[in-house]
Formats: sequence, C-alpha cells, structure tokens
Amino acid sequence: MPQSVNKRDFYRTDISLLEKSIGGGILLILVILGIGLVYKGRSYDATLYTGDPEALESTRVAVEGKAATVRGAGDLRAYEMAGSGQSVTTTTGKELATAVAGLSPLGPTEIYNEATLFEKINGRAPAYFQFNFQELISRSFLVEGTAGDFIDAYLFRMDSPINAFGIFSIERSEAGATLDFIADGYRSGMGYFMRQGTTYVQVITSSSDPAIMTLAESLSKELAASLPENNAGLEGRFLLPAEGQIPGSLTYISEDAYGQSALSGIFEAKYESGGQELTLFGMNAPTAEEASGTWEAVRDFYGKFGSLEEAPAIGDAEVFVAESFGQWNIILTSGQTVAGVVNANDRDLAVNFLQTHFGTAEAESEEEYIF
Amino acid sequence: MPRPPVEPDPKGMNRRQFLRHMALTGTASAGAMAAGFYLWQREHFVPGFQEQSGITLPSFVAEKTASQADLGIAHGSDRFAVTRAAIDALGGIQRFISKGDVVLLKPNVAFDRPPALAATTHPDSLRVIAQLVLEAGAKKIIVADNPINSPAGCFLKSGLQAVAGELDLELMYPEQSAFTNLELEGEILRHWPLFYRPFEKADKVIGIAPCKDHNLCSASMTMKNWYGLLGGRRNQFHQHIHSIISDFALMVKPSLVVLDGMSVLISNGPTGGRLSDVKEMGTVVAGTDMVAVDSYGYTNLLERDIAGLDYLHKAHERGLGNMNWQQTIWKEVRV
Amino acid sequence: MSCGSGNCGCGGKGHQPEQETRPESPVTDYIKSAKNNSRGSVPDPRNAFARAIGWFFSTIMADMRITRVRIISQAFFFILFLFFVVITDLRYLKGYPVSLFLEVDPLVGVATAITTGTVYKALILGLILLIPTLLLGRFFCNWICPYGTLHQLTNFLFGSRDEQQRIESNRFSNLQQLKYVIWLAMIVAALFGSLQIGLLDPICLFHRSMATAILPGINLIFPDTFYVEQYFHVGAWLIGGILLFFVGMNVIIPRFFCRAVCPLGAFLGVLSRFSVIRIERDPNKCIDCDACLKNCQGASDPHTQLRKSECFVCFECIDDCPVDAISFSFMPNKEHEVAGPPLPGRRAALASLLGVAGYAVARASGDSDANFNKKVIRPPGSVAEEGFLERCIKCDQCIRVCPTNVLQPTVMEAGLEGFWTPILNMKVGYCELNCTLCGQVCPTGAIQRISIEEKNGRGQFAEQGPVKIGTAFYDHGRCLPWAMETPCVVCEEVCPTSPKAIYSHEVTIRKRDGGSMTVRRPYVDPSLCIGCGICEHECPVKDHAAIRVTAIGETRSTDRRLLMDGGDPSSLLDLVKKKR
Repeated sequence: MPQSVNKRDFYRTDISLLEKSIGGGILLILVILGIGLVYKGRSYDATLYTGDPEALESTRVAVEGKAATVRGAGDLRAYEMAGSGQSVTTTTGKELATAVAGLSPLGPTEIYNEATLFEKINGRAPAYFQFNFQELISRSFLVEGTAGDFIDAYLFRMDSPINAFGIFSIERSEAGATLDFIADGYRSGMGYFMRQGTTYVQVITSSSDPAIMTLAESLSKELAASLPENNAGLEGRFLLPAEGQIPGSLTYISEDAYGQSALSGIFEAKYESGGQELTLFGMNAPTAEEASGTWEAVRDFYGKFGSLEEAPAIGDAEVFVAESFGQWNIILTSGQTVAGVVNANDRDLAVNFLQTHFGTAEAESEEEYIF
Repeated sequence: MPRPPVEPDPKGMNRRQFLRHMALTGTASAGAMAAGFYLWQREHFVPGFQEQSGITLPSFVAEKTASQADLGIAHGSDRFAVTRAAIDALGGIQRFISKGDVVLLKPNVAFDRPPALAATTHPDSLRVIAQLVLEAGAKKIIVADNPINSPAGCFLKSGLQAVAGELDLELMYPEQSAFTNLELEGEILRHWPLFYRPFEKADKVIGIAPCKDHNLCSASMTMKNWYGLLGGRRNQFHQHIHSIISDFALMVKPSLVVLDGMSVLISNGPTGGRLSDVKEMGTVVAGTDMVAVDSYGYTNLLERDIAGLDYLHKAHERGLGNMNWQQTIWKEVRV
Repeated sequence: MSCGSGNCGCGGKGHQPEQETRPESPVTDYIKSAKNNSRGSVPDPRNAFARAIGWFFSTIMADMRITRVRIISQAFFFILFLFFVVITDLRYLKGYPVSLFLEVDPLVGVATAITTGTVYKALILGLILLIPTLLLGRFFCNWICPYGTLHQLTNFLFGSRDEQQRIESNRFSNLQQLKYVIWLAMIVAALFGSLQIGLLDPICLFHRSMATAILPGINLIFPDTFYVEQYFHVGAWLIGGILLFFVGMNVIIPRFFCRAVCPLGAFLGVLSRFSVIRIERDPNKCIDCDACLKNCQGASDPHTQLRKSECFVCFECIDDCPVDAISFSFMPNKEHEVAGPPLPGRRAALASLLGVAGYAVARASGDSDANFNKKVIRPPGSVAEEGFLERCIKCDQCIRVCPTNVLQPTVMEAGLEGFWTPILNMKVGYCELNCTLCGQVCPTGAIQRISIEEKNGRGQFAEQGPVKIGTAFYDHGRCLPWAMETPCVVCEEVCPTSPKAIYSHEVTIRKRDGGSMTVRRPYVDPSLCIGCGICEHECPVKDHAAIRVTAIGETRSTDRRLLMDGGDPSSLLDLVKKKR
C-alpha cells in the first residue's frame, strides 16, 4: 500500500517463483482459516445460549416455606395458604364482610397464622401463643363519610373457649363497661372487646366519636351473632353472679390461684358490697368427689398458714372460715362447685355476701344470669 | 532599454471588484440577519411543561354481525387444535383478516424464559395463529414486543425467534428510532413513548397473551399484554397499575385477542422460574372484547375472585368492555 | 478475498501499463467478453463479481510480490477482527470464536500462565504464534495484528508524504526502549499475581476501545447500527481518548505505539533473538541511499546492522531498495545484526523494580482485600477477587457481549490493579438470568465458562444452588411504599428467581390527610437473592435506587458471604430434599 504514495513503479520487478509460491501458500492458509472459522461459527450448541430445557425438570417441586407474597384472601389459593405457614388448621377462603350500613371494606381480608402473627401484632404475639392461638382474621373498614376514620376488626381464634376467655380476660381494661348483648365483652375508649365461642374479637375504632362507636357496636353485634356460641369448660365462670360485679374484674386463672396448687382453672371476680371490695372465685370440678377434695386441700392450706374459725351455714354447702394474716377466707363446696371469698377484710360482710348468692344452693340456674 | 512608465497603483478597487464585493458583503449580512431572525426565540418557556403532541392508534376492530360470538372458549389438550377451535368459535380467522393484510402479532415476551415456564407467549401459540393468519391470505406478519429483559435474549430464549424464522415473520426489535410519542386521553396515560413502528404498516392487530399471575396487579392477561408497546420509564406505571392497564384498553383496539391458558403461570408471576409455578389448564380463549376475555381468564383459569381485579372494574365502568363475560355472546367448545 | 482487493485498489492503479503487456489468459478473455456484453445495459451483478475476480487475478496475483500478500493478510485479519467485534452480540454470536485474537496473543497466554500457573482453555493457541515468532521474528506485528494495521493505515493516510521526512522519522530512536521497560515491569508484576499486560496489550486495548468507546460512539451517530438500545460505558472518554491519542501519534512518529509502547511487541522482540530468517543487506551492493527507511515500519535500521528485535518483517525495504541490496535470507551473517533488544541491563533492573514497587503499592491499597468496594460486583462465574486480578486482561469482551449493558469498565472502584476490569452497574443494566455470555467470551477464565444451568443451579447443579454476585438491600427512606404512601413493588415484579427473593406484605397505613390506604411493602429474602440487580435497575427512583445491590454475599468468595449457610440456599434445598 505505501508504495503508491509516490505513484511510481517498484524498483524490484523480478519476483522469484519462490516468493510467489510462499505468497500463494500464505493466501491458501488464509482461505483455509476463513473457511474453518465460518464452519466453526455455523456449528454450535444452541443450549449454550438458551439453557437446557431438561434441566428445568429439577424445578418441578415447589419450594416449601417460601410462598408467594401474602395477598388478600380472595387472591390466595388453598395450596399457597398451606405453604405460607406451619399451622395445620388453616382456614381458607374466609372473607370478613359486614352488612352494617356506613362501613365499607378497606383492603382485603388478612389471615395470619402462628408463623405470621408477628407481622400483624408484633410483640403482643407471644401472649396469644400462651393461649393456643390458631388464626387471626382481620380486616379494616372505612367509615363512610369521614376523613379516613376506620374500624379494624380482629378475630383471634383460639383452640378452646377457655383459652379465648383467657386472652380476653388478661387484655381486659379495668375501665371497660360491660355489654348487654354478650356475656364476655366490654367497651372501652378504643372499641369493643368480646369473647364468643373460641374467638376473641376486637373491634377497634380510629376515634371515640359516638357515631363511630355506634357503628362499632353494630359491627360487634353482627360479629358476635355470626360466631358460634361455645362455652365448654367455662362453667365455673357462671358461678360468679353478674350483680354487683365490678366491671372488667372477671378473670380466669389457669393454675396456682392464691398460691395454692389445688386451685386451678378458677374464675375470679371482684364485687362491690357495703362499701368494700370482695374477691369471689368459683370453679367447677369434674365430679363432686374431686370438688370436695379440692375444698379439703384448700382448708388444710389455710389451717396451716392461719386459723380455722367456726363456719356459718350457707345453704347446704360445706363451709370453712379461715383467718390468715388478718384477712378472712370463706370457702364452700357443694356438688361439683368450689367457691368462696378470699382475702376479705370484714368477715360478716363476706359471709353475708356468700349467703346472698349461695344461700339457696343450686337454686340459681345459669339461664337466669344476664349475659 | 527604456523603462516602461510606472503605472501608479490605483487607490481603491475597481468598479467591478467594488460591486462584487458589496454584493457579497450585503448577501452575507442579509443572510446572517435572516438566519438570526429566523432562529430568534422571543419567548421563554418553562422546561418540562411544554405542550406535547403525539399520535393515537387507529382502531383495528373488525366488523361484526349480531350473531357472531364475542368470546370463543375452547378446551382440549393440543394447543394447535384448541387455539384453532377458539378462533373458529368466533367465526373463523376470516372474520378478522382479509387477503393482503399486514398483520401485527403482539406476543408477551417480557422475560428471557424458556417456553415451559409459561412466563412468555408459547411459541406454538404464535405458530398456530401465524399459520391461521397466513392461511387467511395475509401479505405479511410482523411480530413485535418491547420486553423488560434484553430484547434479543427474550426473543431467542422464548423460542419466538425460531418461529419467526421458520414462518418468515418480521421480527421487530424495540430500537431507539422505533418509538413515537403517544397521545391518549387516558385516566393516567396521556403522553408516553409508543413502540409505533410495527403499527406503521399494520392493517390488523392480534394480541397473543399467556395467562399469568402478577405480583402487583394479580393477573397479566390480554390487557396487560399491551404494556409491551410502550417504552420510556415504564417502572412508574406501578404506582397506578390498575388505571394504566385499563387505559391500555383505550389505547389499543385490536382486531382479536387470544388468551393462551394451556399452561397457566399460577404463582410467582409475572416472571415464574419453576415448573411448580405452572399449571396445565388446557384452555384457549379468543375474543374481541379484552375485558371479557380477561374476566374469563381471571375467574376460570387463575381461579380467583373477580372482585379483586380493579382494572377490569375500571375498564368496565369506562365502557371499554364487558366484565361479565357471561353477558356477552360466548361459545364454548371442547376438542 | 474481495476485501483484499478493495484494500489494494489504490496500489493497483500504478501498474496498468504493466498489465497490458501481459499475455491474455482465459480469465481476462472472459472479463472482456463480459464487459462487451454488459455495455450500455444495466450491470449484471454476476458480471460485476466475475470482473472483480478477474481484476483480482490479473492485477494482484499477476504481481504477487510478498508485500502485496502481506497487505492481503493484514486486511484479512483486520476485517476478521472487526467482524468478531461486531458479531460479539447474542443475535449473531453463534459459534464464532470471537475472542480468537486474544487467545492467540502469546503475551496473554504467557502472562496468565505466570500468574495462575495454568493455561486456560483456548489460550493454548498462543503457541501457534510463539513458534513461528521464534523462527521468523516479529511477523505478527505487520501481518496479523489489527491494531498494528490500524496504525499503519493511519500513517499511510495522514502521515507525511515527503520522502526525506519519512526516512528521518523511520530511523531507530532510543524511545523504543520504553516498550521493553513496560513489558518487563508488567511481567515482574505478574510474578506477584497482578496481571497488568491488558492495559497496553494491543489486542486487549483495541478490543476494549471498540467495546466501550468506538461502537457505542458510532451507534450514537448512526442509531440502531450495533445496539437495540444505546450502550453507555463509564469512562469511555478515557478509553476512546487513549485510542485516539495512539492513533494520532502516527502523524508525528510513525507507528509510535508499536515501536515505543507495545508490550506484546516487546515480548515478540525478545523472542526474535532466536529467529533464523531475517532481512539481510548486502554491503557491497548498498549505495547508502537510505531509501530502505522510507517505508520501514519498525524503525529497525535495515540500512545498517538490522535490529532483529525491532523488525516487523514487513519486507518494504526489499521493495524499496533501488539496487536489490536487501533480501530475506536464512541464517545470515551474525555480524550484520543486533540480536537482542535495545535494553541496557541497568534499565532492565529499573523496570523490574518498577514492577515490584508498582505491585506493592497498588496491592497495599487494600482495594482487593480488606477495603474492598461494595460496587465491585463481578460478573457471574467470576473467580475470587485475587484470582480475578491474576486473570483479567481488561479486554472487556464481556462488556461487549453483555446484552443489558450492565457490565462497565471500572475506573478506580476495584483499585489501581483492577483498572478497566468489568463490574456490574445496576443503574445502567442488570444481570440477565438465563445468560452466561460474559463467561462464554472470556479468554482467560477470569469469568469461568459456566453454563446457564450452573449459573442458576438447575438440573444436576440443583444441589449447589445458583451463583450469587451480590445481595440487594432496601433504602426505606427512598422507597415509595415505605416512605411515600405510593404503591410500587416493581422490584418484586421483575425479581427473576422462583420463589421470588423479593416479597411484599400488604399493610394499611394512615396517610398524611388522615385517610388510610393499603400498600405493599417489599422485603428481600437474602437466601434467595442472587444479586442480579434487575430490582435496582427497574426501581423508579432512578438516580439512586431505593433498592441497591452490593457485593456482599457473592458465592465466589468465602470471605464475602453473607449468610451462615454459605450464602447459598441450602436451607431452601433442605426443604426441597425434605419434600422428596
């Protein structure tokens, strides 16, 4: 190429045959190289770039425990729900809806199980696990005609009525006002809290505006009515009369009540009587013999740590009165029932109280209580 | 030798030079002034707030007689037979395609996935529809999409490039110069870069969409398929995804849409990635009303509650289609 | 070979008279008749082709002097190089060995053999050049090297046309020692495991310039020529500027790069000491006109004692000698040559010191070790960082082939040693799931040639799981659903793994105006995240994404893993196994 710069012929005009044949040989090598490269370029394995379709077979098994994003209930299919947690008794397709006028759903129904409850209620979750939490169904409802006021409904399903009552009672607010449409329920500034069957229901409002509270009450009634009634294991709770009961004082103590191993699964409530506060507990044992045994164990306990006094007659029940550290404990048993007043300051007041309520043994049937 | 007399240098240029020079200077000055005034921008503007203009896509809807079905549903095991049956239920491909038409087929090739993962339009789905269209006498078929992954990889790995090569379809990549500004009176979508080059010559448009789960809008079917016609910063769409998808029904009026529900991506959408995400449903739905087709797909193929799919409600309310597919004229066949 | 003919059109014109005197051949007869037939009518392409062939035979082959063959060879390899550069793209790649020039480059093979103790795959082809160089000298520089051809072409087009000036500019200069200093320093650094030859190796340099600056630049001016979408590369101005500098230098010093800078040339020059055939000047015939210097490419003093280490074996001097005093001869007189490279011992010692010190100060900066940069996200299949620095020749073939433009040459992210090595920049692109092209084209195994199955942990590789290149993290302050009451989760949509590494929870939030709304807030599952970065790339908070990938959690390095179980989804595998 550079030879042409000066547009002149070459000095060297005599090209030897050797030079020509070397040149020819080189050109031949180039041609072969070119053909070889084209051949190489044309023949290739396409799976190099697309991947081997057969390798996909290894992905036929779904990865457990890494379910797709949790969506609203309407979007989830059964197997996805099953894969999203370890809970065995997961319910699918539940839709929390309301017929209450003035409320419209805000977002889908959310369902949480044992594995996912933390996401909804964070640090409160362990308390629920103590009572054998099963499932939470929750949904928000917008209060129509307001600037974003809403009512959240939470339905915590426990494994038994007694556990539902347990979580209900420990979360109970002292200031709550009892409700007239359900036995276990109260209303506080935040909303309505109820226990119906195996479910602990919270209806929480964004404000304590009366109109919104009214809507919340309607929603609570609707929810209470929609849930099946089930009071299995809660019989002891009905030993405690509603009359004179200090609102929100009813609790369930699963074991070691008042420091006594004999007393387990009792209900306790506080009463206002003669200007003083009385603590009444009650429990139902499976049989009359066991009730009697429990009563005796309690009596022995007080005999050890206090002094047994003469007992008044209360109906046909067996009664003992014990003084312990300046406080009076009057415990009676009748049939399967064990009940009594503990830690009372005034003996007579307590005796009177018991006589009023247990004077005619078994006379007051459960139905007479207002729930 | 006598010296020739010295002619004194004239003081100035001669007349000819003078005239020529003046003409040149005058022309140059006049030209500069003309150019200056021509380019003079007298008003300022606020950057970013200028008026925009663009093009609106024409309608590609075919004429319809009262008795013809809006929705053709076919069940079976062979994708070729089922797809043909679904289109035949609408009155055959001749209803939509005339001789000599240039037809745009819009598959969903958003990701670089193998066909088995059902994240993209299946190559057989494209093949059978392209064959039908060619049988109806179409002059040319264009296949175009603007994927989310890199275009070359998507077309290659989804197997569509092979089909295009085999049937001599024109594959259009979303090249820079292929976009034009869209103008639409949408709820959210107004001006946006539109992949317009495929439409320049097209007489008919057919959308071929797989039926897929979608993480955000719950389902990607025939309406969501038109997402692949837009360019620009599409990732903003997700802030109003349901409005945007209902706007697609306004943006494109296709001749026909086909929803391929032979294998449905039921979870981990829209990308998929495992065979465990795919479920065989053995159904193909063809229709002229995208909203009806999608509502069928959502309830019967993805098996979900239609109440949860906002974009169908939006499109229905705006009169862009009928969400209650049972109310349209539909025909169900089994092959 | 039509390329060769096109290139030589200019050279051929000067010989028209000579051609007329040649006896007619059947080919030229055919051409003539074809010419007559086509006169006045539309030219038949077949005739044009036949004419081209005829011209080729009548002009080129008839006077097949060795320099002409050389030009054909140079044109062939130059066009082959450009062809490889252009087809390094998934659309055209097929089975072409697009890194062939790098693989036959003996400096690449030898230097990586020094750093790693192995010769990776096709690098063994370097022997194809090594052996002939030992016999013939630096023929590579003027017969094959496309970068050399570029320089020669530039000098031919834009260099001086004044004969005397050219003779002066082609005299040997001490500047030519520089390349031996550069080469030696790089080889010494390689002994310590720092591979720097790629900075100046002509093939690496040319590939890199084409991939990052020239092709994107051409595509900018003529859209849609090479890319579907315009590619951008960090620091392309520097890489392109260096190319333009070396090309431009040809006007001042012909083939400045080849003579004074090229470490490959230096290496071949050292090997040339053993060559048995060389240019030989017959002093009895020589008239000392220095005409042989007029076109001398290597500035190798053909007019006196030939410097073997500098001679490019271009044969121009043979053609230029008016008295036929120069010839190419086998085993000529030893007295007539300077065998070794012009590098005095003390300079060589200095070069070695530079290599040692350069390695020490660069490595001591800690960029590849304790102070590694979160942005150094290496392509999938890359070896651990130390090995990467032993292997990467900065040819940027991976950057050329990357279908998403995510691969970018580093500037200082990976330290001085890692200059121009590839990293992923998720702002520009993302790593495509079913793609291992970068590994397919990597000539040295810095990115191993893994398959798509190995990358994604499918099929028989399901047990080991996918290759991770980093991990994504959320920046809640910038994320629309986390901070700004706006629905989004594009990241979850595009997440390519199954199950998705990005998942979201629907939450009802109280808005600023007191109303409430439901948004989905995204999270990353580090056991599933492979660091592909499509989430970051698609994030609408474009300038500084609300989800960003950093290098932590990469499987290539045991030091930089994130999760106790090795950063691989073995927990996931346990579940799969349990299922079985």
